[in-house]
Parts: sequence; structure tokens; C-alpha cells
Amino acid sequence: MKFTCIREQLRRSILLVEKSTARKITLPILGSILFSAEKGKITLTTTNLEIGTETWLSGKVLEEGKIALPARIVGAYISGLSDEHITFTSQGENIIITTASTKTLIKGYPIDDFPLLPKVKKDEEFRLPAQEVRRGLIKTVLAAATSDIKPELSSILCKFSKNALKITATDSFRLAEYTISGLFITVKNLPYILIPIRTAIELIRLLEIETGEIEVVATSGQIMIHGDRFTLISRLTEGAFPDYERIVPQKFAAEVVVEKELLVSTLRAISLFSSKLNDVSLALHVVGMSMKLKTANVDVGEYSADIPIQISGEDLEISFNHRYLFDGIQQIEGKSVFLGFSSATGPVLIKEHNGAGYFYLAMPMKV
Amino acid sequence: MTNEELWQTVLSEIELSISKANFITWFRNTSIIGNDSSTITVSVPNAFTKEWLENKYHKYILHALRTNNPSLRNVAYTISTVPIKQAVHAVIDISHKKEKTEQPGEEQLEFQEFNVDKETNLNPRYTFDNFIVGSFNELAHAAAKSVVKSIGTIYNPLFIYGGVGLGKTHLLQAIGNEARKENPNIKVRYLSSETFTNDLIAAIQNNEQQRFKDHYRRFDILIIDDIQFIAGKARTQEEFFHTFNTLYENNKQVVFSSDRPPKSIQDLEERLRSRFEAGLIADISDPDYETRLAILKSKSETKKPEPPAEILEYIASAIDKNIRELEGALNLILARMRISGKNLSLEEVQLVLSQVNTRPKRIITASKIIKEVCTFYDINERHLFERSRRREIVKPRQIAMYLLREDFHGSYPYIGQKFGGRDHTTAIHAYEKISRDLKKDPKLADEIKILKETIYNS
Repeated sequence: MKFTCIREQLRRSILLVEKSTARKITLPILGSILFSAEKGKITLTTTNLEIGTETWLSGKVLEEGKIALPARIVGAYISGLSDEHITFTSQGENIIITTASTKTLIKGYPIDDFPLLPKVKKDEEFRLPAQEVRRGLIKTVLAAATSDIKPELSSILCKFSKNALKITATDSFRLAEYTISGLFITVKNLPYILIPIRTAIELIRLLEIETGEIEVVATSGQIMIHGDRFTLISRLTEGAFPDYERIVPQKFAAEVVVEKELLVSTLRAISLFSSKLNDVSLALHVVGMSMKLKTANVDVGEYSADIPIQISGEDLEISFNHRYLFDGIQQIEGKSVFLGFSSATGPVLIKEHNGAGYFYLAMPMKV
Repeated sequence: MTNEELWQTVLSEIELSISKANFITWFRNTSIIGNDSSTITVSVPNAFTKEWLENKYHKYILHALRTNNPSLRNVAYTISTVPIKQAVHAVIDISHKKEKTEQPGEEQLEFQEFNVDKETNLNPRYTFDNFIVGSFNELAHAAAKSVVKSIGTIYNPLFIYGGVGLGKTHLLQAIGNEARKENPNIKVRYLSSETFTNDLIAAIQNNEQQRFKDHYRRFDILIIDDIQFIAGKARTQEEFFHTFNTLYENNKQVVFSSDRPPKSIQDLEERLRSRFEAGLIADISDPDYETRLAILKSKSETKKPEPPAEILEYIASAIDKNIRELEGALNLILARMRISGKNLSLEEVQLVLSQVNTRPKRIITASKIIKEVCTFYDINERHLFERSRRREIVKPRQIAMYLLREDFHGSYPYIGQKFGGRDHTTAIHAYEKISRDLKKDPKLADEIKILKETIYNS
């Protein structure tokens, strides 16, 4: 195999795929990038047996072939180079990388050991707006469970309803839902899919430079996503996502509108003074049109703030994990935030004031 | 040779021909799930493995299988997501490091609805393993366990009764959960009698009575919590009676809970009452001190910091009736300890609990006791004060006197005076008689318990 390409393009391609490698002592090949050169195109493939990622760049292919190289070494080496043109020449399993001023030999792996990416049956095929999907994933992934105990909760639900795609995640303490509307997709067999959280995080990264639409091919248990610059293959989580619609509060004991930046800076201060439980207590005053936030840590000190709000409903006292509030409020676009408190022991609904398309729920604490 | 043994032989053969790393990676969680004379179906955990076995190891697998079964023609691979406990574990060292993820503490509330199984309405949290048995609930517990062992045959229906917060719901749900664990195909439904009533009303409104009947009659175990609320609802009782009969005749298990025994549920149709009593009636009474302490210990075991024994002992002695309140008090103390980052002293604990434990005490008046007794026994207040010695008057009068002495702490002369100027010895006699009868007459004990509840709660 022999090809020449431009350093910057190669560096970016490696960045795209190197995250879906795995470091396993038992199978070191999973820590490698498979380079395949054919017909003027160089394809880079990685997999950790859960996700497989592929990207490509153009280059001058002088001799077609394949080679598997350790991702960390190649990545770090290429990004440190200064010459613009790079030539890869294989020598058995190893590679010789030459630039105008350097010559390097990197040891490769037997390419026969590199896992084959599974083929995905085209049970469902549709196109989605790349940036909208990315936004939806970013705004919901923070609510997904990070432990693997319940796989359906450490996944993102993508559910198709009429002309819309709802992206939802919950760890059973909070929940976020983002709706992409104005779609014209009919799914036949898969009313919903569950994307594992690691795949979602990977996808957020891959979609960063995508414009236009991505193509999604799904079958039960597998998904393949094509962009202009990448192909991602992943398993899907099996199981049923909780029937979450019924927990979304429709009526509120108190409805509050507050300036976002003010609330964010207050919560930042609270994070310094809260106890190990991360608790902050909120007291809503209808008459005073104010919200008092209070927290204390025996070792650090105490903090309280009174911030002006618009409120309708009744006075309420309630405690939250301030991080849960912060996470949700951070995702709100626009200047003012709507907080709907369902009850002293029920969830709060956070969304943009007069906004639609996204909401975030957090359950309170009993302290 | 079973599929398992066959696959084990194949694995040990393949293990010799390929590297250990490859063997562990590609053969973990595989098994044979289908075997007819010409095709063997191998279950694999994911698509990567499927692809790899199909393309790289197919020859090895086929060869190894053929040595055992020469007529074999084909091996198929299928992805199965259900994890299988098996074979390769012998060679696979578990290098699985559990990621440490920060789980929110007990104080963080969660969406409760998620925990409830949609089909059975059971909460998997309630199991026999975390049910603490003491002398006060051992009969109910033993009965519940034997119901799971022989569903629908020995104790049918099982009727468990006891006061608020003593673990009836826990026991009921544990029956359902355990039965499902033993046999996942069994159809269990847990519901409150209120849900049953609401469903019935909805069915009547939508003209779907038949669907309602069919729905409830297909369960193998029907568990109804708080059945006492069925009292006074004639139509629900009727519908329930038929449902119960259908289930009972088909040897389906029915389990009830209530806050009082069937005979003390007012406005319950006789035929229904007799059916409730046909199986086994088991009661859960108030927990003794040792059990309360055991509950606190088991609840605080997993907690950090673990509260010192003297604090647990104090909580156990301070809260003596209700297990739910006992847990609430413990959680409160634990939260305080976590916030302050240190153990609380006994005095601080006493202070915290005294704030919670002093519920607004109702002021009980003598006339309230008399009024409730009369309503309960359906007699006119006037009769109590008369000189009448009719049986139906004498008993309520004595009970009223007993309650005035026991709960109101009235002096005997005062009590005598209250009931039409009787002598204080009459009051003493009444008090002693009822105290004596209480010990040997459980029905009387129930009546007085309910009476007290209505006096204190209304």
C-alpha cells in the first residue's frame, strides 16, 4: 500500500474516528485504525465492538492495500507534524511515514484480526436534518443515566410521531425531551429506537461539521448513520423505554418566569456553598414576587439569594439538587426561563419562556 | 448430549486452535439455541460477533460440530440480546471493571412511575428478602410464602389485615414479585380496590362490561390492596363477587389486604364476607421493639455514615406503632447527619424527632367518645344514660366507660356521674369487665380498635 495525502485532512479524519477505539489488553487490535487505500480514496475505520466508525479523505493512491496502526501513536504523531504532504508506504505489517523532512516506521497489527463491521439490513431508511439531531442529542443526553444497570435508561429514545421526531432521555431523576418537527417520515416496523448513550456522544462529535441531512438505516438491534464525512454503525439498546408521557406535569401549583442569566449565576454561587448532597432550597413568594435560594455547608459557609420573579400560583418551598437545575437551565435558549412547579414532591418543568420544542424535568429532594 | 454439553466440547476444541484473546472476545456469551438434525443455530451477543464467526471461524465451528454429528449440514448464527450465563466463564477472567458512577442519595426523589411494572403493576422493590419478620407478622409472612409455593390451592383467598404502615402492601407485592420470579409467564395483577372500582365505572360508562370481566378474569394471581374501601359500593361488590368466583373456581389465587378483618368491615355483603373468610385470614399487628430495631438496622446498614446503635435504639423506642414512620424518622436523621457531616448526639436526635413526632394531638372530649360509640353501635345517645339494662345498651355503655377511663383518663366517680349519676363502682366494674373480655374476645378487640381509630381520626 502506498498513498500520499494532506496532513491537515488526515489529522481531522483521525480525530473523527479515534474515539471509537477501545483499549483492551485482550484484543489490542481494537485500539487501532484500519487504513484502506483504494481508487483515490483513503478510508479510516475503527471499532470497539459496540460502535464502528468510518471516515474518508482523498489522496493520491499509488498502490492499493490495507494496514492497521495503533490509533494513539499515529494520531499523536500526525498532529505534531509540520510538513504538509505525508506519504504512507507499507512494509509488511508496518508502515513507513515520510514527509519532506522526516521518515518514521510505525509497527502495525495483522489486518486479518481487524473486526468486520456488520452489515445493517435496510428495514427502515430515512433522512434527518443533521444539526437538529445534534442539538436534540446535546440537550437530552445530559439527562440519561450514566450507569449500565438499566440499559434503557442509559440510552436516548428516538420516537417518531406524526411529522415529528421526539428525542428523550431520563435517569429517572430528571428527564429531557426535544422535538424535531416538520418531518415527513413514515416508519414501518420501528416505532422507536434506543441509542446507547456512548453512541449518542460519539454522534454529537461526528455531526459537528455536518450540514444538510444524514441518512439513517435501522433494523432491530442495529443502526447505521451516513453523513457526508462519516459512517457510524452501532448496536441499539433492546428493551422498552419507560412510559414517560404520563409523568410530564400538565398543571402547576406555581408558575415562575425568571431571567436566565441571573438564575445561572445564582446557581453557580450555590454550587460553591452547597453540602455534599448538592441540595439547594427554594422558597417562592407570590406576594413578594421573589424566589429565595438558600444553601449551606458546615465546612464552607452559607449562601442565600433573593431573586425577582414573575409568579402565578401559590407559595411553595422545595429542595433540589442544584446540579440538576443547572443542567436543565443551561440548555434553555432565550433570555427568560419558565419553571413550572407541579407540587412540593413532584417534578419541576423547565423550558424557555413561551418556548416549545424542548423541556426538562427534575425531581425534588426531600431534606 | 445436551446443547450445552455439545457447545462446551466445541469450545474446548476451538480454544486450542485460536489465540486466547480471540477466543475470549468472540466466544463470550455464545451458546447453541437451536438444534435439529441438519442445522445448528448458535446464539451470539452482537452483530460484530456474528459477522466474525460467520466469516472467520465458521470452518472451525462446523468442523468441531461435525465430529460430534456427521450429518450436520449447516450452522446459522443469530443475535440474541438476552445475556446467557454459560460455558466460557471457566476460561474468561473477569477483567470487567465496574465503572464508578455517582448515584444520587436517598434524598433525591425519582419518577416513581418508572419502577412499576406496567403489566403487573408491581413495584419490584418489594420482595420477601427485604421483608423483616417478627412475631407480629410471622403468620402473614409464612402464609404469603406458602401461597407462592402452591398458587391457588392451599390458602385461597389469603386475607391479610393490619394497621397503617405495617407492611401489608410490601407483603402483597412480594407475593406477586416472587411468583413472577419463579415463573415469569404467570399473570399477576396488583391493584387497589379503588382502581378496581374506577375501572368498573369506566367500563360501565363506555359500555364495556364484558371487556372488564374478561380483563380481570384472565389473571393467575389477583392481588387487591385495601379491600375495605369496597364497603358500601353495592355494584362494585357485585361485580367483584362474580370476578372472585370465576377466579376461585378456576383455582386462581386471590390475595387481599385490609385494615381490619372481614367481619369488621361494615356494609359488606354477607356472601362476600363469607368468601373472604373462606381461605386464610392472617393479621399483622404492631411490631415489637426488637423487630423495630432490626428494621432500623437493616435499613441503615447500607448507609454512610452508619448511625450509632444508641441512636437506632432511641428511634426504635420513640416510634412504636408505624413502620413507615419509623423509616421516615431514620431517613430524616440520616439526612441531617449527611448535611452536617457528623454523627448527631442523642440529644440532637431527640430534638429532631420531637419536632416530627408531635403531631397535632386531637383533643378528645368525653362527649366525642360517647357520640362515636353510639354511632358505631347504632343506638341513641339518650339510652346510654338511662337505667336500661338491655344487652344491646349495656355493652356500648360499658365500652364507653372503658374508653373514658382508658383514653380520657376520667376518674371513676366522674364517669359514673356522666352516665346518669351511677355509682363509681359501676364504672370500675365496666372498666374491668371490658379489660378482661378484651383478652379473650378478639372480635371485641377489633371493635375497640376501630372505634379508637374513628375517635382519633375523625
